[in-house]
Amino acid sequence: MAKKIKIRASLKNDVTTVKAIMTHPMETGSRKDKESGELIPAHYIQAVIVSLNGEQVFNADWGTGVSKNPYLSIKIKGGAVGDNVALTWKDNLGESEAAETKIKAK
Amino acid sequence: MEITRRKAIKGASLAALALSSSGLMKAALANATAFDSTDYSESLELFLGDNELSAGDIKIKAPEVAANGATVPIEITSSIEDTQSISIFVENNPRPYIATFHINPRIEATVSLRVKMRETSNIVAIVKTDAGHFVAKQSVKVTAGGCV
Repeated sequence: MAKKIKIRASLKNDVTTVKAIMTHPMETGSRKDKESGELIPAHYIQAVIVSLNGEQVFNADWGTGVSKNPYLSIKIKGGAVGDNVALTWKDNLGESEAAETKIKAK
Repeated sequence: MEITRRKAIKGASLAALALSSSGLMKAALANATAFDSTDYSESLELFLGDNELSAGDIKIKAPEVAANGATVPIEITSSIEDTQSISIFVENNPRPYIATFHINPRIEATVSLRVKMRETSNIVAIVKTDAGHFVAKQSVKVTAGGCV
């Protein structure tokens, strides 16, 4: 099964760049099914949280305007090789996914 | 009875939590309505409340022309001191309010993401700090719309 979140964290010049791609349809709720003509219900990530060694360092609120299979990149000040970076998302249907990775030197 | 007592304590602590977070709830609800708005001016008003906007040192990195409106890569960097959050609007989208990124002191005030654009439009970045709200805009041409 395809991984629901791909995440990488690389440390360079005292900045850890976190890049993640989340598998998610990000349906706006305004799209019609081509065959049935029915509206496809809105299904989109509403909240994203990033933690460093268990401590929350970032969070975001999203609407339906974020692209399908969302990409996100943020820069954490500092961080050390081997530190744990985790990302969690929650969507409007109550679904949730999480993934983590260790910081690598770039 | 023991079970009833446990339930009562849980109920009381939940109520206390609800009361203390009602400020957050109010803010979250206002935010939620801004997300649902289909009008740019309205979504901006819902988002800003009584706050005013000033021009600020915010860099928007986006393609001049986006070939695919379904996924337009943008990067917003705020050089304003004590940036608390970076919010994004796409002026001509069916739902203009796109996202808000909360900038904790542990992270740099820069975010990259991909947004949907229905048509040629301004990308609007709004930065919130203790000193107020700041704004920057950049136009992106869209040749194939990617929004429904």
